[in-house]
Amino acid sequence: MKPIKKIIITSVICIGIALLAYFAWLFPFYEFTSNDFTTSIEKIMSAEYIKTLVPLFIIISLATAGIIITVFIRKFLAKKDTSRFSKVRTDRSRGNSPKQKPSIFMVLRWIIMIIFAFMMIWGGLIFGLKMASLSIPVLSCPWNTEQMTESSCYYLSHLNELVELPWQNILLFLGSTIGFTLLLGRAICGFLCPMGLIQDITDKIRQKTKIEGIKMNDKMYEAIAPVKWCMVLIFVGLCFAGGNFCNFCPAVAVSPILAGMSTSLYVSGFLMVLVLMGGFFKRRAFCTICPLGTIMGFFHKISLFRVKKDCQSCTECGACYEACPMGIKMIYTEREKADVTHANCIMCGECVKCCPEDNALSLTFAGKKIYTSSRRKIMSGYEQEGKK
Amino acid sequence: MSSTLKERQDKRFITKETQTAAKYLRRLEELSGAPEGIEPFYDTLKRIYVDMAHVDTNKKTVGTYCVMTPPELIYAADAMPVKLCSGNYTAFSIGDDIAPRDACPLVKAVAGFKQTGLMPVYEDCSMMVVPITCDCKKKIAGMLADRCEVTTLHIPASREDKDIEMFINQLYELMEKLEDVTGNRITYESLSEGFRKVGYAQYELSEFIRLKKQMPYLIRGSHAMAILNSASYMPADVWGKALHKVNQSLEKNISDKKTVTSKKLPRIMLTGSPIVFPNIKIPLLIEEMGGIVAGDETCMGERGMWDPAVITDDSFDGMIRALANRALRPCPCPTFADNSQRIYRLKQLIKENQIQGVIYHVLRGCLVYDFEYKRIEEELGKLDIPVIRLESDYNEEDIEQLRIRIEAFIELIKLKQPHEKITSVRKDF
Amino acid sequence: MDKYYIGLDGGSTYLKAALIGRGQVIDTMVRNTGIDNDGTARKIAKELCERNSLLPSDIGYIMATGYSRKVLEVADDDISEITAHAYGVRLTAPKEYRPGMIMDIGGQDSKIIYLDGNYGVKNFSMNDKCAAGTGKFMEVIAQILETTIDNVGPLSLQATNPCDINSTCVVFAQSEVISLVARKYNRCDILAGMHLSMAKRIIKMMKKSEKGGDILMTGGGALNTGLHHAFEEELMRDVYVANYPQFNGAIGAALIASERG
Repeated sequence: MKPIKKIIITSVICIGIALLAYFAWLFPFYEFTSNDFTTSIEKIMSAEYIKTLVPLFIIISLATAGIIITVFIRKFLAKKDTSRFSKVRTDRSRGNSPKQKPSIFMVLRWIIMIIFAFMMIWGGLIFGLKMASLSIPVLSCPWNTEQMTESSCYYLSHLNELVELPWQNILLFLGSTIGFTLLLGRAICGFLCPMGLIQDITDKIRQKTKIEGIKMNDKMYEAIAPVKWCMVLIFVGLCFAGGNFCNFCPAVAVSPILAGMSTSLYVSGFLMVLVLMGGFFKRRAFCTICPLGTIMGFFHKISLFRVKKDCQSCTECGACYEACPMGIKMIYTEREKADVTHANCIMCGECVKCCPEDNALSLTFAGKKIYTSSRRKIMSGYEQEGKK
Repeated sequence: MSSTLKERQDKRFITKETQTAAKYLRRLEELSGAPEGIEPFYDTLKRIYVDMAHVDTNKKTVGTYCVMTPPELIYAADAMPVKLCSGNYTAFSIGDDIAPRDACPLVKAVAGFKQTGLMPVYEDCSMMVVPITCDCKKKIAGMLADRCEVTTLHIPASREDKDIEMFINQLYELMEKLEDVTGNRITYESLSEGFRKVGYAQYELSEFIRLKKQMPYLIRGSHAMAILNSASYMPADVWGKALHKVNQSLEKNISDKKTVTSKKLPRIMLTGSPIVFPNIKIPLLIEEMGGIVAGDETCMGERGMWDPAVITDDSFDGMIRALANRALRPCPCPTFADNSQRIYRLKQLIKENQIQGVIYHVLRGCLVYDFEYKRIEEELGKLDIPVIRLESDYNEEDIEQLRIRIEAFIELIKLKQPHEKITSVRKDF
Repeated sequence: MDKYYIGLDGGSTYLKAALIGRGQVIDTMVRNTGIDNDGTARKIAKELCERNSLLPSDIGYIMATGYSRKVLEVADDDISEITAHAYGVRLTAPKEYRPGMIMDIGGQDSKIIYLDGNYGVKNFSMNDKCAAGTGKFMEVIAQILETTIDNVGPLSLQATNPCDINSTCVVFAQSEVISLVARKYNRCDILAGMHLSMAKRIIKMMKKSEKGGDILMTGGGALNTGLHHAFEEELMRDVYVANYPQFNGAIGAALIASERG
């Protein structure tokens, strides 16, 4: 593609997204007669809860339908391509591919993600709002007033409201947000973010059903980068232009509804469908354009979580790049620096899990190795083959 | 006379071929310090080259060349891959007349086998897969095509994402051809089974290499070479099980502190063009001249099966992707334009195996390997590791030349080590 | 008390011995190899000691090199010629020589050894399968021209118009020279042509990339001034000649011995 054409297409897309975000309230996805932000454990136990969950059901069923239609369209389009999407190949009812034994790190990550998501949805209802003054930069909707902690995304996207707050609150907000960002960096995305959990779950479902995903290559990642920056601009700047990012943010569609609050959904509902579909075909698709994550990525040089590489023992097999949900190519091409922490890295540990060379990749926290690649671990799934 | 000219010629070929193979096998067996459990590997080499028998399987066999052909796919089609890269002197002398003078001996030997049509390993193949890693391979693919079905795999010059995608498409095409030839369907289940078979062999191989690293002088490189060479003619799971026994005995040797030698022999690494049985004169010479091959970076040696295919996506496409990725990205074959990763790998092997010198083997006419010598000599020179280039052919005429060079090289390393002093007083001469 | 060391170089025609002590070459000796390699070696060692009034107990270590090194049982250890030559240069090279390349022109083989800055062997090449460019080549041609190998050098320096000798093989060159003689060419010109052809042959063995440092000639061939001249002409640069060129290998072996003993 010619560069001019590329620029035009990118700017049209970005302007389109910006307009969509600005006029988000004009596109209702599901409107309650009146929004009700009161909730309690009794409400969740009662039948009324089901009524608040309706938009969620719609989102899930639309996403499922979308996925099924996409799979069928793909099959139809590739009807002549007998090799890749033919019946034999896609008949994946039997058998399992060899897998390595689960590592402690991965199990822990899932447990932490699930517990944190639980706390961010129902935490306040069960344990009270003791930590509610802390702000963590995660995409967990602050419309849900019963979260265990506050999430920074509201004030970051409504900076004009932030400056009107009393100074103690501003300090507390900035202090906790920056503190968490420095301490954990984008490990927050990989370990804490409920949006991340949702996308990881959709990916797990795809892996279990063994449907082909969409493997993004470096060109596609390159093409999506402007969209990411456009999202950052919208995220920070929309409030000054008089818009409301929350009408556009897909995260709204999850936690307030699950917490039992009847929340009307605008563009965010449509977007959530797309996020689910995207996350199904490409792991953590939304994370590649997430504005909050991008902002956190600015601090990747100083966060305590780091990805370290022994450049000499690396064989450039690219397994880390294949496994990386964020498409960080530098991790396998780097041959000089020992620190390969990238601004996009969410510390999910997939690269370390897939690395077949001993000690070639490791995840460190404050200089201490917490997860190291190992040949034996990666081949562990094959060990018992000899005993057959 | 009762026999025809052709028959007599064939008989002479067989006699000569079996004699050379038997000779090298004997030299291997005479070398001290073979680990327990190495016999199945000797038997395989004997079966193929001395007895000239068929491969020990009842499945159809598919001939492959180079490390880029994924054996997983062939196992998935319920066939057995047989690596046909050849080191045969007798076939080379016949191929010498067919292939141009400057072609590499490996290709000449393949051409020779094709011409005589006597080697069962070649004749049994229902199909051959030839990755185009150099011009010689390209032409030999064309030559072999009139004997059986040949599929070529185009190897790109770089390893970008688009190259991987292109290679994936080729693997799908290869899959269809495999299905046509074998009559079996490659399904999700059978492909996983293929992964398991090869994965197990790779698991045992990585254990083997881990043990080797653990204690210096645990095994001689020539024996390791025989073990790794015979992987070409054994089903992966059988090979893996046989290697498991060797691993067990090595593990025992480690706990007993039993080494192949009590002396501090210079530790030498072999790299460069493939070393294929029976052309194992170089490792044999090194070990006969008082060195030890402590590691190798050749495609019929430790490197050939080292890199595993890592499945990062559970779909069928994901598995094929893993195969394509494994075939191209970690491969230190000099066919790629930028192959600087090979230097890192050599450095890593030098560190892990405490290598003191590197012998760079070049088969005459193997241009791509010869090209890289200069760069590697330079880079390893910075580490103060001496490197020499040994050019050889598939014949025994240059053995004395090689011997002088290897000897001088081993001496060079020995001179760096401290020597024991003589204390007794000399009485007379 | 100072120890002395002996290096023995069992070549194809001669057995050379060198005695060194206190880091200097003290004496050298050369004998025809004969049938009994080991016996000759013992004799030569004894003679060396007697000539310098030393006792066998003064000899710290004996190192053998050359073709017959394995049979010289008098030696404590043996070392290949390549290593020995590279070592010998430390003592025999002229002061201004910067280590780069050694050309050893022996009786039946010639080799080129590439050195790094510290006189370590970087690489080497040898003439394989053929005696072209060796002392034997000179000997054969000298015989046809009815002169001795010692006169070949000085004679060739008188040449005004060197002939072309294009054959590399000794046998072919022989017939080429005979035809040149028959065509009444000057003997000096033929000899000069022979030296140039030898030089060309050996230069072909050199690697273009390894031309750093100076070139040093050793071996019996270095005694031939005509060949030395031919090399300087062909390479268009200075070529140094080692002291005791014939004994370079033996001196190297003795030097290695001195490090051991």
